[in-house]
Amino acid sequence: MTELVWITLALPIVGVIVLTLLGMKLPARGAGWFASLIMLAAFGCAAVATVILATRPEEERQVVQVAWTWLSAGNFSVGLDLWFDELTAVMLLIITGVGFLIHVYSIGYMEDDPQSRRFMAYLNLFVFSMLLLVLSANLVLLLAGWGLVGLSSYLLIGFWHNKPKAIKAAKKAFIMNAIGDVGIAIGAFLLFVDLGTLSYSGIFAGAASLSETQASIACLLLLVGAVAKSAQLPLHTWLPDAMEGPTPISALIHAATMVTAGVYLIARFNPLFHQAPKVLDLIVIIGVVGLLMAGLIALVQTDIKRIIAFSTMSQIAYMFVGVGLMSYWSGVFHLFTHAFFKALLFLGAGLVIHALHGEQDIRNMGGLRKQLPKVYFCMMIGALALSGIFPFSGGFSKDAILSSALSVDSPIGWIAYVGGLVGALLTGIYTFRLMFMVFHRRMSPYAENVIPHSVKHHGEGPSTMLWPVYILSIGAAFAGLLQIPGLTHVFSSWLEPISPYGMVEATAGQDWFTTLIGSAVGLIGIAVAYHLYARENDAPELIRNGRARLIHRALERRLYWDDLYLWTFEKPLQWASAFLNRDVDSPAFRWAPLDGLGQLTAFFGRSFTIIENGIVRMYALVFALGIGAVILYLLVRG
Amino acid sequence: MSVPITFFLGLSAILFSVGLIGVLLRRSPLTILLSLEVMLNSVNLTLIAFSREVGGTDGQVFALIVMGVAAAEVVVGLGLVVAMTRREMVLDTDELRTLNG
Amino acid sequence: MDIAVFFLAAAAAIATAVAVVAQKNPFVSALALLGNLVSLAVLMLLLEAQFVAIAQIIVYAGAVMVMFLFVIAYVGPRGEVGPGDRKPWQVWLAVLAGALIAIEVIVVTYGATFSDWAEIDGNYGSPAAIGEALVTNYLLAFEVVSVILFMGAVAGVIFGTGGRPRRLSNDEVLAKETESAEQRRREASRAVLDAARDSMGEGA
Repeated sequence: MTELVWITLALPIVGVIVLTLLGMKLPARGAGWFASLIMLAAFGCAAVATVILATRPEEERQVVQVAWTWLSAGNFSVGLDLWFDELTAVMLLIITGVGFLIHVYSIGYMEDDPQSRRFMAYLNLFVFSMLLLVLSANLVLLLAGWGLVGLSSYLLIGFWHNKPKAIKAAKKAFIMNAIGDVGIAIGAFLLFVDLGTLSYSGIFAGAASLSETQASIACLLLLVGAVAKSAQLPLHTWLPDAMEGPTPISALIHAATMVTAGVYLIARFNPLFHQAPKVLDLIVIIGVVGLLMAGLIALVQTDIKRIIAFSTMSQIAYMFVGVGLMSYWSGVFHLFTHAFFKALLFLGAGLVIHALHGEQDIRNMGGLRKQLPKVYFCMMIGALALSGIFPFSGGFSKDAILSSALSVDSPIGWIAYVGGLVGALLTGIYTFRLMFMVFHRRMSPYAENVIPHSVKHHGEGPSTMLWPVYILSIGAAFAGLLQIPGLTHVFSSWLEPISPYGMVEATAGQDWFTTLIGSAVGLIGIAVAYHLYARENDAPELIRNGRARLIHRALERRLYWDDLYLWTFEKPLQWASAFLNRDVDSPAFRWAPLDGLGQLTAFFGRSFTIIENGIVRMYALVFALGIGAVILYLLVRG
Repeated sequence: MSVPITFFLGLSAILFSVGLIGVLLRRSPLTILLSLEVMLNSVNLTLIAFSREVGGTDGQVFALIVMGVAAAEVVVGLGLVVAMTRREMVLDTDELRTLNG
Repeated sequence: MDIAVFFLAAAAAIATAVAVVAQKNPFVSALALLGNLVSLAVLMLLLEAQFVAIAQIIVYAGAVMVMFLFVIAYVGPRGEVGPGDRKPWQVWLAVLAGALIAIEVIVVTYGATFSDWAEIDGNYGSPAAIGEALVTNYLLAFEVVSVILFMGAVAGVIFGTGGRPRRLSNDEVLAKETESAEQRRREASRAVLDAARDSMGEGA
């Protein structure tokens, strides 16, 4: 079984190497299919490994494999260790499975791009990094994977490197993530000082011996990394901008896998977080505030991908609430279903954008359901799942989080419950605002111009792009059935062993109650969206210019977070540098003694050009004279 | 043998200097290579003289190895000369004063 | 007897070495180096290093020098480079450096005391003795030299085959000439302009 895990990890890097070395020698489609088949093979290995893992008795399901030790100093040693258990298996299946579908989708999406081979190589690199992240059995390797996913995300956001906005977004994502990397690195140092080890097993075993303060500080630092990677408050501003990258990237990295790494991190380090209950409460608060804020901002965005990006942020905030309430399984369950329906929505949006020749503004869409019926049907499944309507997958997983909050029955639980339900209302509104604006209403003049032509020539899209969407719709519709309250417990019992302190799990009654309320709230949201956006009326204009226009403006500017960072970090730095340049450096170097120093250096430089003239013969002459002088000195000295 | 070792060493020093002056003054890469050979051979003479003084074979083995390395150096040097000729460059080391890279 | 042979060979060696360095024609230089190698071989025989002396003649004079002569013939008259714009102080410094090193070494050797020539048997300097040393004590050096020679051969082939030998067509020669004429004219006009600017500057 461990061999299979190794192969899973190795396959994508083989793909990277082959695609990089052979590169232009492969035909573009061939390179795409090669990368996709690699992913399929990796998915197969991961699936078989998971099945083997499932056949083992519960106590033997945690496998740590040490390949070799590469850092060793004193009693400190770090090796290439793999950790394979139930949580890893779930992540592995999501990464390779969704990864495979998105690889196939990319073949069609990047068909006209002359650099699609580079894209495929980057995609494989990303998958490798992500697998390394979830498979590592110590913090150093985790940090390596953590940094590598940041790198591949940077490369892929900035894939169209002649697009200045994309480059800017890539840099922003990289810098924001670097803050998180530093957090995790310092957290690792701290844990090493406290416990003398960086391996998971050592940390989990030693966690109980830590004082609450020690554990809290370490957890806070890990949380910084989780928050940055998962685009949660206050380090979330990079995610909407990251939508400048190709759409498959948004689906794979910025919806299904990488951004959920923060949730994985918290779930993985649950024995440590268990020692720091205040940090767990903080996670819940971050989650609740984040899901409300992202939901509100998503209400007014007009770029189809940005709306989905803010919805991603909001859904990850739900996952944070789940893991923060120590209901780790529900957080990971939502991560699992979210991977399906959010990748589905992104890929569907990609099809819409493809059909409209790159148009992303939903005001330039409208009425597309007749022209793109299959896309409409699939995206409708995704939207219903996202809105948490029973019996679609998102409903089960979101309600699992909320009912866990209900069963905690503490102030923090109630905040999470109420906040989550309000968030569900917002989700229903913004999701169906998107659906109605894109697929209902009257067709915009732009779409009227473009759509008939593109549908005539390409249909709804190439089959490589449609099939992944179909498969994801099946997942988005039925993945929730793994965990029907009171009936099936596949997910919660599978993930039970990852937490030594047990997990919060609601009773079937609480579950069904929450499902009822959650679906009702979602349906209310859909009704509101229908009332405002589905028909031809001036509601959008009224909202924009009515009494609440100030709030509307604030939401459009994404609640000024970017401006906050601009004015607190960027501008002061620019002012300080301008001041130092104008009033300190320049005068100082024009000050006579300093200037004279420069002139002196220049004078010597000019003098030496007589011998430093580039002619090798002259250097040899100086060399020979030097030998003569040295021997002479030795002779004279005796 | 009646010749003292200092004679050999002195002769070797003179040959070395003559070769050195050639390397320093000539501009044709061919002549520079030839002058280098003179220098290498003068050192070989020293090695063999000392080997004879001590009565061991070490110095002679050294001389052989120097010859091997000199042959390699000549091959590369002449290869460069040929390459320069094929590219219609002037065979003048003073003209080769800008580095690319 | 020995001393006579020594002085004869030494004189020949110095004379040929000076010829190598001083001759303008590389062909003559190469032939002079041949003579230098032979006279050095005589000196090596005097030092009982029979094997090295023979290797010197066969390998060096026979193989390496032949390669030299081939290249010199291939390069042709382009190989001759005159004194050119060499500055007198460079000549003096070069001669100074050479003389300094030679005199210093001679002074050092005359000041030093050496033991007498060692007693040797007939086996000294024979191929058997050298061969044994090469494959026992000096095996690594031996192998490394073989690798270096191999790399040198590869490098020589790569250098020598790179770049297309190209004869310029008449048109190209013409184009080149017009270009250089153009450039000369441009330089001349720039010189005139500079002079004009200078005089104006003085005027102001």
